Amino acid sequence: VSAAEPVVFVVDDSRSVREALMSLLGSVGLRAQAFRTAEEFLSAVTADAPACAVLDVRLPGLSGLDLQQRLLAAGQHIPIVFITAHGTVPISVEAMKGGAVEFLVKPFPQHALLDALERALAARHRQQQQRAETADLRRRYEALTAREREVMAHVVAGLLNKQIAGRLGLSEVTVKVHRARAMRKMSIDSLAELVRAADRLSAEPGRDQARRTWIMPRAGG
Amino acid sequence: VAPYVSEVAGWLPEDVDATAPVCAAAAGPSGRILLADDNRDMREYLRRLLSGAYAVRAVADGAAALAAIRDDRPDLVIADVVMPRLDGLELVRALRAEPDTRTLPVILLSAQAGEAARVEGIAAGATDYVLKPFHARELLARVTARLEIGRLAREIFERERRLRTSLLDGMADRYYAFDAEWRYTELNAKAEAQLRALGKDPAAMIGKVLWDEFPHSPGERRLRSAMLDRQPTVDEHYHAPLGEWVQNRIEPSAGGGVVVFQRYITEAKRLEHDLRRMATYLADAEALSHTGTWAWNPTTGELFWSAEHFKILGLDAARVTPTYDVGIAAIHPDDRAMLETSFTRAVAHRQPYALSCRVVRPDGEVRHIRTLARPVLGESGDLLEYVGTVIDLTDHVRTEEALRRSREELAHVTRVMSLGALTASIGHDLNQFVVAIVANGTACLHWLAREQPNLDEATAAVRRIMRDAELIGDVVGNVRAFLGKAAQPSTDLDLAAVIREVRELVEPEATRHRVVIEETLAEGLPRARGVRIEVQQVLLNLMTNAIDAMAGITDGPRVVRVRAEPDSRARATAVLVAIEDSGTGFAGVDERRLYDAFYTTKPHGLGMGLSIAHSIVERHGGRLWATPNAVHGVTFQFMLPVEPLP
Repeated sequence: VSAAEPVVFVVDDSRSVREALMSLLGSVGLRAQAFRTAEEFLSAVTADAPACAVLDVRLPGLSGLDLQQRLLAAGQHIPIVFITAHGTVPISVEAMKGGAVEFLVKPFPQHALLDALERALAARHRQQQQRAETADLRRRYEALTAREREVMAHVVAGLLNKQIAGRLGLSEVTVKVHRARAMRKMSIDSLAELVRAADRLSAEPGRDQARRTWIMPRAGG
Repeated sequence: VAPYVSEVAGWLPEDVDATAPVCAAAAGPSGRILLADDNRDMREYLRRLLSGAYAVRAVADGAAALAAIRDDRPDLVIADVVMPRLDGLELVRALRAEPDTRTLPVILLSAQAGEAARVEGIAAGATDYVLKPFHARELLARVTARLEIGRLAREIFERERRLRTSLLDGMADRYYAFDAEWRYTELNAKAEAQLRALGKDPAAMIGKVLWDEFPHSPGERRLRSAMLDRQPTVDEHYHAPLGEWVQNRIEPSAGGGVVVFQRYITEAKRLEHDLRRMATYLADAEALSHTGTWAWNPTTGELFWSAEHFKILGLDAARVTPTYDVGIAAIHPDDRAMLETSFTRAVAHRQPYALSCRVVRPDGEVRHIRTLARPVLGESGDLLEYVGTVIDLTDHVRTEEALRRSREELAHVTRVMSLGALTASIGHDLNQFVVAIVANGTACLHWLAREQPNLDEATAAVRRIMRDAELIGDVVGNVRAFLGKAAQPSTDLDLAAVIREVRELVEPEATRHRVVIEETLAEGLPRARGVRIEVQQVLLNLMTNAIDAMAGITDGPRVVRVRAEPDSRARATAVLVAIEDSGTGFAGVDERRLYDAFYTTKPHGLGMGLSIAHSIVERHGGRLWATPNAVHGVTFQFMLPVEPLP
């Protein structure tokens, strides 16, 4: 079992349920780790793990919903499958608003849980792929010169070369050169692709500076 | 006359000295004699003859004698038969006609011999008849004898009179004797006192007519009819002036009159009235309280039953004579031996006894009775009788029975309700096991379906399924045991175990409310005596109460602490259990009403919990109380007595 294999975190205060879910996940080839409380879960969370989580709503101490909010606040977008014996509409709405993959009421059909886990893992996989792509983009973006970034921001903002030249006080030809060089460095072929890449980079949390640079070019700059 | 005197002189014995006593009778103050003879010589002779021993008065004829006798009654009269004015025979007749002199001894002297004259004298009433001439010694002997007889007669008469007086005076009653004309003839001392009280002089009443003295007497009619009918009569009437009830017992007397024995009976009347009223009250009280009375005389075997006693046994007082056997026959056959044993033992030891049993009425109805009895002992400690009561407790017993049943019913209902409140939690518990079992089952199938089936994992999954199924069984068993309706017997309880059972029952509920239950159970707790399910209910009520009490706590700990320890104040003869919460305390709670049924501060509560818990603990001989904590929350504590060591 390599470190790259996804790990599912299970939180339930019932020992019977924990043990049963561990075995069930194991039987379908998933690695799993079980916790009795939300607090134990939080102390075990790392950058890579878990791939997804199965949470009981009612727990001693922090509840499953509390845990979801803590993770979101920490920027951890872990797909969550809720399982609960007390499914009420308000609770399920709150859970789904927080981005839960599924909200299952105990007892539930086994395939429903396994399907939900599959979707959660797929989502996680997508997430990780996107994250890898964004990191790649970021790396390439970091390689641009300041002028190239400037030109690119204006391009993404939808300005024509001439307009950009006017704004930056450059000749139209120079703008074209910077633009082509930036496209090449970013390995981007079309304007549409460039706009998507800018979107993705600006959506990255903690990257406000870049977002502003890309989306809102300094006026008169 | 002269020959008489000489003759008499010749009779005078030479040796008779008039001053010397001639017989024993002359020895003392022996009597006063009236002498009547018209012959002066004879008078003088006799006076001389008798004066030595007696006080002699002499008169010359019968009329003078009668006057003298009436004036001053002598002890003996000696009279000549032949006398002027009134002769001896006439004198005797006159004396005999008067009550005072009826018995006065009279010796007639006569020269007339012969049977006929003598008979005539005796028939006239003479006591003795002496023929002249007589010998001085003979006359003296006769005089002495007659005086002696007279004295004895008077003594006897006097003694009889004193006896009669003392008898009459000794009577409680007033005694009045009347002759046929309603003249008073005799009174006793009490009658005299009564007459004095009525303003009369008793001494002056004799001879007076009753109706002249007391006209319009209320008893008159009955007195007159008794006089006419000559029948003993009892008359009772109220005498308004005296303010007394009077009873006259009227008896006809020999002389044609009546005697009346009179007494006041006001007190007796009052007692009789009181007695009758008491009897009425008693009968009422017996009927109202379903209490009968009985008395049994062990010597005669006589048995008395009051009217209510008959009624309780369903027997007819007019037809059934109470006897010991009749009484025993009325007892329920199953209770007879017990009753007879207790009764016999009580009688043997002369002790009071009390016991409950059933009686069967003739129509087959069974009644529950309780009988209490005590011996009545004489001064010397001998058993006179047993008196007792019989109380019909049937209705009471039935009410008790109904009460007990409804209490059980209520206890059951509240158990259902407290469990109802826990149902969500219990359901959650069961749900967890169902989830676990299904997941284990699915996993097991997956392990088996692998290309290389993983038997170890599959087996482990099946084991877990079996374990969880058993846990489900426990939960269901707990619930069923708790809902059990049948009354259970008291047993020795391991309170620590009972607490742990109840904790398991409420644990899910506690988790749901994020309440932590902590327990501190002292090692080696003494066993308390109690009904397990009831003590469980007390704990359940108090623990769910404690959990509910903390529903509003958002900023503090939610902890229920359960402690059990020997009660140190009671020197470990009791176990103390404390349930402490960190809730909102008694704010807005009327502490005095805490244990009242239906008092609740919860919007959906019925208010039965504490009331039930309280009554259960009290029934176990324990105590339940609550105290606010120093910081926050309340501690409920209860104490159960420990089964004494054998």
